[in-house]
Parts: sequence; C-alpha cells; structure tokens
Amino acid sequence: MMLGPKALLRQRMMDGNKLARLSSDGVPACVEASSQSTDPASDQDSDDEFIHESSSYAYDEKCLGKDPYADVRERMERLAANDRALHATHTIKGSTKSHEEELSIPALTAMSTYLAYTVLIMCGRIRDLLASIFGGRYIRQPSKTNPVPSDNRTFFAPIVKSWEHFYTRRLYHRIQDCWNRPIASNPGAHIEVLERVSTDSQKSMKLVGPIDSIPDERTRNEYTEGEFYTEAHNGAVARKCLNLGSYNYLGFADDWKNTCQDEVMGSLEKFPVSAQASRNEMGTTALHRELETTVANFLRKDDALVLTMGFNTNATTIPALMGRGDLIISDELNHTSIVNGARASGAAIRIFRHNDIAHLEETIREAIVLGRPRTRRPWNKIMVIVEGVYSMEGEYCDLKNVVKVCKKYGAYVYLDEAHSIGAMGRTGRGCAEYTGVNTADVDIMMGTFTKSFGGMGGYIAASKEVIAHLRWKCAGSSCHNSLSPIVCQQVITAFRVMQGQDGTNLGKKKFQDLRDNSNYFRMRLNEMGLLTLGRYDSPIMPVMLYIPTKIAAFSRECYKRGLATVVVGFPAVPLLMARARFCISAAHTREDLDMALNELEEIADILQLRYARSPFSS
Amino acid sequence: MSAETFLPHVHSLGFTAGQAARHFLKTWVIKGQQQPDDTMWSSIQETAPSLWSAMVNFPLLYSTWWWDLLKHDPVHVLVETTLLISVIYMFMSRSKDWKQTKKDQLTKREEEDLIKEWRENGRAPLVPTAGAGGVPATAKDVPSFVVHKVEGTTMQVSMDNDPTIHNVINFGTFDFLGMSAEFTAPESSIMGSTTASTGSSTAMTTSSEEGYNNDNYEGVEEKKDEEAAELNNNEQQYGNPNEPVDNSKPSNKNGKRKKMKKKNVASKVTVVEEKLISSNPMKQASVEALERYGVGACGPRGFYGTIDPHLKLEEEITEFMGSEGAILYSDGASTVSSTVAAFCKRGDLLVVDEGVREPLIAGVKLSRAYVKWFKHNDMDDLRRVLEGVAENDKQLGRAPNAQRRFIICEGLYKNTGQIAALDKIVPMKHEFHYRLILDESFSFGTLGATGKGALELFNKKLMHDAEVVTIALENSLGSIGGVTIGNEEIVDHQRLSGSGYCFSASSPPFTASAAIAALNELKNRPHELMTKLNDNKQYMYDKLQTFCELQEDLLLIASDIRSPIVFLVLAECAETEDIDETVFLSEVVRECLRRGVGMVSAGQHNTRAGVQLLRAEPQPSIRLNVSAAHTKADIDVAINVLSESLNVVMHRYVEGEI
Repeated sequence: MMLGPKALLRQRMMDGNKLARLSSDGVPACVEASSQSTDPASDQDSDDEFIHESSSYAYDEKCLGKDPYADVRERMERLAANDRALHATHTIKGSTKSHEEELSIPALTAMSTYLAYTVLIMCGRIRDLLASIFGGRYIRQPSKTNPVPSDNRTFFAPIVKSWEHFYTRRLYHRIQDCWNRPIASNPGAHIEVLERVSTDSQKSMKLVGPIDSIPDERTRNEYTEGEFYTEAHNGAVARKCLNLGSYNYLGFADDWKNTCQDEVMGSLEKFPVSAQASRNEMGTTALHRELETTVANFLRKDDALVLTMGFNTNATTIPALMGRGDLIISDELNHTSIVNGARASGAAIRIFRHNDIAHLEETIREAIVLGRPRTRRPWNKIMVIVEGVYSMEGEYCDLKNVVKVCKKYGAYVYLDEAHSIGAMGRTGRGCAEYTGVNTADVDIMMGTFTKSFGGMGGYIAASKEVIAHLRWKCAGSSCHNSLSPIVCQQVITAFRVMQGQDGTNLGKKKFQDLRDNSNYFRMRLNEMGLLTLGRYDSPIMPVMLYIPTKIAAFSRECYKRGLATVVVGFPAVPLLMARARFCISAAHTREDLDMALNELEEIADILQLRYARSPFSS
Repeated sequence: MSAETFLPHVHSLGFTAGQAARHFLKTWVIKGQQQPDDTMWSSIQETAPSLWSAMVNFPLLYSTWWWDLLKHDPVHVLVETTLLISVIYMFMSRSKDWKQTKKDQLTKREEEDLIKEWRENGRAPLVPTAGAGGVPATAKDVPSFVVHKVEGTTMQVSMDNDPTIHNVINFGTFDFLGMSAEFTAPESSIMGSTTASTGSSTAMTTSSEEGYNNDNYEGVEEKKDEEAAELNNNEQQYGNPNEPVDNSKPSNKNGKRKKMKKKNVASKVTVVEEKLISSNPMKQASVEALERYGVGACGPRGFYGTIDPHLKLEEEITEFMGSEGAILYSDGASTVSSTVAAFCKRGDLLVVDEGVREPLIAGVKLSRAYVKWFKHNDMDDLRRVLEGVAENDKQLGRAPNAQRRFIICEGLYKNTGQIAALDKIVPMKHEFHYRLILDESFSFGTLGATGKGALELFNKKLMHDAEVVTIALENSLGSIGGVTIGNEEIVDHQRLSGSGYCFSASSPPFTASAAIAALNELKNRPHELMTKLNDNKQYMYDKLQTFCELQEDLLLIASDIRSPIVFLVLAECAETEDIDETVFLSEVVRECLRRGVGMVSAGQHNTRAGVQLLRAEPQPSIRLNVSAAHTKADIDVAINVLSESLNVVMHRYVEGEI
C-alpha cells in the first residue's frame, strides 16, 4: 500500500537528478531517443500530414512573440518529451506504473480517511436521531392547509432512497458551498463569483445580493474591505477569482468579442435561438451542414454528425450502433454518458482496467474465444470505448496501443475526445494527433463543443456509411431537438480561428499557450510535492486530497485567496479518492499561474497536502 | 495406551505451553522490557524441561493411542479418517482454479484459429449495409430539409441535396407561440386583445399588424420581400465596424440595455440591425447575454458552469408554475430521461403509456425498474394494469408503500397529438397510490388558459396531482434546455442524482436569457397568446374538416382537436390499400414544400430503418404545427397547398410514377 507514493517520490527524485545533469551535460538521453524515433520517416502511419507536424514542439518566437517561459523552457520541454515518449508514442521503454499504483493511498491516510467518514456518518446518524425526536429541517412536514397525498408514508414509499438521502443531507450539504458556485461573468480566466450565504445551516445557499441589502454594517464591511471584492453586473456582491475550474481550454470565452462575436451576432439575424425541431424534421440548418463538413475535414473523416448535447451524443449514439449480441469493452473510468449509452444499448459490457493494454487484450481474446455467455455463439461485433483525456484523472489514453490491439483482433474503436479535442496535439486535433495515430484507424470519433470551442453540443465523425446510418437510428438525431444554429456558428468560427483561416496566428498562439501553461503549472505542482495525476501536455491536473475534510478546507482556502478551484468527492470519484482538479486555459498568463502557485504553496503547508513527498504529507 | 492415559499428557503439554506463553507475555511484552531479564530466563529454564519432554513424547504417545483405538473400534477410525482426508482435500483443492481445470483448456494455436476465424468471417460490419451505398432505405423515402434562413413564419428551405431554395410558410417546427418568429404583439390584434407589448420596438409592430390583418396571402409575401430587402441592406451596414453606435435606439422597459451601454461594451451592432433584432424580445435578450457572457458556459453546473441567467430562469419558472423549485438541464431530452432515471431505480414499478416519446423510453430503460405498459391513452387499460398490481399485492400481502410506484405519461403526446386524460389518470393515481411523472414538454405553452400545460387544462394541482413535471424549453419557449419542477425534495435530489445535470456542461447562458424573455412574454400576455393559438387551432381544424370531406375522407385528422400538433393520416379505403403510406405521405410533403408550405412527414421512419426507438411506432402521417404567429391567410394557404399536392401526388400514384 505504501509503495505507490514512494515509487512516485523516487521518480520525482530522478527527475531532480536529471535536472542537475541537464545543467551540466546538456540534453539527457531520453529526449534524444524520443526525437529520433518520432521522426516521421520512421513512423508507419505518418502518411497523414498532421502527424509530421506534431513531431516538433519548438517555440516559434518569430510568430508568437517573446516567450514568457524562456527561463524554464528547456526543463519543461524535456519533462514533457519524456512523458510523451514514455506514455503516448512509446518510443522509449521505461517502467510505467499502472493507474492503480499511482493512485494507491498510503495506509495511514486510508485509515484517517475511513476514520473521518466514520465520524461524519456517526454524527449524521445522531443528528438524524435527534431530528426524528425534535424535528428538523430535513423532516418534511406535511402541510396542514394543503396536504399532499404522496407525503403519506402508509401508502407511498419515500421518493428518495435512504442512503442517498442521508449522504446528501449529512455529508454533502455540510460542505455544499464548495460546489455550484454561481458566477456573473463570462467563464474566462478571471471570473466574478457571486457570494452566497446559508441561513439554514447549509441546507440551501442564497445569494448575498446587492451590498445595500445587507442590514448589518459589519458584514457589509467584511465584503467591501475584502481584497477580492467586486460588484457584479446586477449589483450583487461578488468575488474576483482566478478561474482554475472551467473547461475553457483555448480561451474562447475570454477573447470572444474579438474572435467570434461578429459572426455569431450575424447568425442571430438569420436564425432563431433554437431550431425547435429534430435534425430529421426541420431542425437542420445550413449552419449544421457547414459545421459537419468542418468537423469531418478537421479530423480527416468522411462525414460527421452534430447533436445538441455532448452527454446525449454518447448516450444516444452507442445504442444506435450496438445492440443485443454485441460486446462493448469499456475503460473502467469512462464517463457516465458512455456508461448510460452502453447500458441503454442492451449489448454485453466488459470492463478493462484503466489504460491497461495487457488487460484489454486479455479481455478481447477471452471474449472472442469463449463467445457469448451461455449460448457460446460468437459475438456479432466488439467495440472498445476509450476516452482521449480522462476528465477526473488528467491522463490521456494509450491510443496507439489500443488501436494496435483492436486492429489485431478486429474490434472497433470508439474514441471520446470530449476533453482532448482542441486541447491536445500540435494543431488541436486531439488525442489521435498527439499519440501519432491515424484517424482512419479510429472507427468512431466523438467529441464535444462545450470545452475547447466554448459552445455546446457534440459530434460524431466517422465513415459515410456510419453517419448515414446514425442520422436515422440515433435518437439524438431523429428524435431530439437539434443543436442551436447560433452555437453552430460559434463552433464554426472557433474552428476557423484554430486552423488559422481567419488570417491570424491566434489559433497557433492558443495551442502554444495552453500547452506551456499546463506544463508549467504541472511542473511546479510536482516540485511542490503535491501528488498530481496525469501526464505532461494534458491541461487537466488533479491533485489528491484523500481526506473528506480536506475537500472543503482546500476549496474554501483557495476561494479565500481568490482562486476558483474544483474539488471532487464521491460520487464522481471513489469514496477514498477525493481530489482537487485544475483545468488550465490558454487565457491564463504566467503571472496568473505564479500567483496561484504561490497561494497553493501556502495552502499545501496548512493542509499538509504534499503526499508525493511523504505519506505523512508534510 | 488407552485414551485415558493419553489425554492427561496432551493436557500437560497444553498447560506447559500456556504457562510459558503467559510468563513471556507478562515479562516481555506487558512490562515492555527490551531484553529478557534473569527472572525470565530462570522461569524459562524451569518450564522448559517439562515442555521438552512432553514434545518429545508426543508422537510416541499419539501413535500408541492410535493403534489402541484401531484395535478397539476400527469402524470409528475408518469413518474419522475418511472425514479427515476429505477435509484436507477440500482445503487443498480450494486453492486450485476450478474453472481452469474443469473445462478443456484450449491450446494457444486453437485460440489463434478461433480469433482468426472470427476476425475474418464472424465479425459483423459496424453498421448494416442496407441499400445502395449503405444508406438506409428510409433516407430516400423521407425528405431531408436544410433551412437557410428563418424570417418570421417563413423559412428558406432546400430539400434532398437539391440547392434550389424554396420560400415556405413554416408549419414544421414546434414554435407554438411564435417566439422564434419575428413576432410582436400588435397594438390591436384581430382578437381584440389590448394587452400592451413588452420589450418590443414600435418599428416592427406596424408591419406585423399589417400582416395580421391581412387576409390576402399576396400581401404577406410582399411584406416578407420588403423585410428581406431591408435585411440585405442591414447586412451591408453590419460589415462596417466604424459605424458609430447610436444610443438613441428604443430603450428596453427595464433599462438593462442602457446600463450595459454605460459599461461601454464594444458593440458593432448598428442601429438598423438593432431594430430588426429588437423586434423579437428573445433575440434582444440573447444579444445582451451574448455580449456579457459569450456563448459557452464551459463547465457543468457544479464547477463554475452556473451563471446568473441559469439561476434567474429557475426562479422565474418556479414562480410562474407555482412549484417549490425548478432545476435546469441543458437539453430537453436529457431532462426527461435523467429525471426518470433519478427517481426510478431497480425494484420500483413504472406504469407507462405506450405512446410516450423517445427520451421517456430511454429513462425507463436506464432505470431498470419493473415496467408495465398500458395502451396509448386507454384509461380502461390503465385501470386494468393498476388493478392487476393491486390484486397481486393482495395475494402477496404487500403494502403499496413497499415499492415506489409511478405512472408516466405526456401531457400532449408528441408522436400522436393526443392529450393525456388527466381527469381520469389523476383520480386513478390517488386511488391506487401512485406518483405521476408528467412530461409537459409539448403541452407547456399550448394547453391551459395561461399556457401552463395539461395540468391547468384539467384544473389539476402541481405537486398534489403530479409530483414530477418536466418541461422542455425547446418548443413553446423557443430556447434550449429543459426544467423539472416539483417540491423541494424532488428538485434537490436531482442536483446530485440527475446524471444529465451533474455530468453534463450547462446550457449557454444566452439560451437561458432567451428563455426568460420568452417566459416573460407568456407571463405578460398569456391570454392574448393563448387565444391567438386557440383561434388558429380552431380555424385549422375547421378548415381541415371541410378539406377532408372534400377529399372524400382520403386524409383523416388523427390528433386531438385541442392539440396544436396536427396529424393527418391516410384513411383505410380501397384507393389507399396498396399505397406505401410513408412514401406516399413523404411525397405529399415534398410537393407541399415546392408549393411554399413546410410540413413534416412523421411516423415509422425509424422502424423502417430497422431500429425501434419507440414502444409503439406511430402511424405514418403528415404533421403540421399550428403557431400563434400564423395568420389565417397562412392557414388557408397551407390547406390549399395540401389539397393541391395531394391531388398531384395521387395523380402520379395512379399513373404509376411512385
């Protein structure tokens, strides 16, 4: 149990040694190895243009201006190249730890985490007991004037299950101020978070509202004298925060006025806000068609289909492709939308350990050899579903090996690029570009427009036949309302900027900034001794907190210091694996990140978060 | 040696060992001494000899005892030995993998052969290759439309990859209240309602007033042309970024617009274009929100994706519907499926109407609850199902509160145009103690005196008669998203359990602002809008009735006359016996589009494509949606065109061209 962090520590120390070596003898061996073998000539699949492109990651000072990270550039690039060669392109061999090893929780921490939950649950039970005697906020009082029949417990079972409800009441509500924080600005690098208070011991949160509406002068002063105080557009009390939580990877929320405003406003003249019909009825506009062509060209696929919501894209496409007699092999950490889609499809589902290619191969082999359970007839088809970047782990998929294994056994590959499209790869083409996989080898590429593009909705890019099939059979296309034409325009414009078709190198700068910002932030977090998951070049970096009380403490400490961060607990992650998560954007500047890192340094001391350094986390 | 002589030895052995251990514990562990001291050693020396002798003598003692026992009672020994051996065997065998040893292990080569065989012959293609080029047969049968521009109730639509653009009157989308149309309240509408319009400029009012009072279709066309010319003009101006922003444009009632300008938002929107957009309160609200927030929310509600318009919309809906709370989802379809799946779990009982739309079916599937279906809108069948469950309860001695039970139906059925008979469902629900999940997605804004939906139509109370109500904002309100309303418990529970809420990014803030604007329209002049819609409905059904009679009942009205979704199906008679209904009706729809009216061919397309998305696929039909923005002239034109097209297509059918 103790091995995980120790091994990590060793790894980090090795990194440190390499740093020392670098300053004396120049480029370390691993970088040479990677630069040699990512040479396009030696790559089998490199007939695709963008794979050539992706092999070089040098900073182009002529085109992008002065490098803000000049002093740490070499170190960053070396660490990133090492990670990429080790985990994505597999051009150097090294001991790679499995996900489980990396996550393994120190025994002491595990014990204290369990203890914390035990105390919380015991206190909750006592509160419930007292509430049942004396009454409380959560005991629903049937109204005498307007009795509702479903409150009658002799005839109606309670609407919510008791454990779920208990968790919500006694655990989640106590720290619910850490989530659902409303903002009153665009979700860019700096946001205005509306201040909230609770008048009923955290059962519900209310907005503070305008400063004049607070009767108490002392409370008023507390807000106005605070360092980050600001007034939102509607006059409500707000706090200016650095946004480390939104999926605004390419920063389209920040420079929207310069990049997308004109065209989006123009589309509003031609089209209403919503098409008010499904794609197959009257909900397809010229913009949908244009967007589909753009997506297909961008990903070098034949055709694409755009739907109104990323979640529903997965939840409705998978049932349209798979059915009874088919087998879905899914990564254990896949998103809920994939799980929902797979369940709704009626196909058999097998799970393989996260990013564990050996286990994937074993699962496929066994499935083919043994056939369907009981009837022992062969499977109709097998589909492997993986994500490009896992949103709670910050890890990218080992796509190269997944594709290799699937090709070997004839399984289809479904790649969900919700977090990686636009955020990974030299030209933002996602995980496939980053790992050097030809998109022709990935049968179905799914992604969303919510994240990098600052829009909404999702796409499926695949061959002509598959898309023609999906247009009719996918419920998202034939039954649900179509994507808003206005959002279509936003995404089309974002694509144009990304590809440099707007005549600027803004897109190029965005990719460079995003990658540099994330690598810099990750490097500093690692140096700080925080147990950071994921790999270099990924813009998502979760930091392990483990203990439930640290969830709230971390979030509140950050908020106090003007950092808007995301903390994640059960049910989004396993009970023991609570974590904080940073999402870096191209819109962050180095000053922003340095400020955040300095604050985090202090918070790490206060909360003892340096799990990578020692199991005692000090 | 007999057992009597052996046992004391065993006892002494145990006793001695116990003594030693006790002493050891006492001195070494409890006192915490690092080194065994002298007393310890001495005590060990004391006890050691007896322990030693006992251990040395033990095998001898045991074997003698054994032989003795064998002589006395061989059967006993036999039985005991067998048992002993089997126990040992069981212990040993547990460590083996039974699965592996039991079945015939395949060799590596056999495995490879199997895999090769499957890869080459057994594997099905990813999608079935139906028809030429893999395109499903239905794609050719059913027209596919591409909308190029929407202007008021007219649209520019092209069809089937044909670039020709047709100007059509829109009867295809679910814009029941005309929110998306450039629709403003005329000062004196044809209904004689005098409610003042809100948030709309006077510039458009006159022209649309003309449109409303104009019974001549030609005149409407002219007006649209004028508008188009104006719009082109605007587009030219729009391109000029140096155009100064005029502050003298009509200000909004609440003065929000003014304030925004004060904040000096860089806007390139010119005066004239402003006029066009501001004629529609939804677009006006969208522009404001876009300028402030951009497009995307860039995150789920929990992680900084909650932006103040979202909260405002939830408040407004709560207030409008009179519920205890509302929860906003980013898509109408996932609202329904997530809500059903959040409350219905394994072991619960769902009684579901067979005619419900796809998202409800998806929700029911995801819930993994027991499902009982009743015939579409058939109240006798519902009673039969409920009585069957009650009967079963009685036999099992099960109380109704042993499982959660729900009746699931839609207020206005999207696929059939029927209205749920809530006057019968609600008493039955109370009688048998079920909760009601009611999807008001299509009934909200179309039924009831103030547009609050089917509950209002039947004079039923929210939360009392229907516990969970879902509303899509995509139809009457013309925006994106959906809300679920109910009591506090129901709303709060979904904030952690609604998968479409927790795990999906929230809707773009401008859609929430647009929905608020649309809701305000409905709130401020509900009677006017509803009267207009009802009047149009009435007019449409009256006209259709005469039309159907004229056509010798070739087409029949299949929807409820209170429904603004109108379904027309082919009658079953000698003439239509051999007709492929889907193809025939689709051809009629195509012909209508060419003649300037957009409607939709609905029905069995998905079943024909080989997938069953719905429980009971509806009959092939033509669907027209009546909107409050339509004029009577529009409806006249639609019916004339329909009649012409039907004749043309029938003619072609008789000629054998289809």
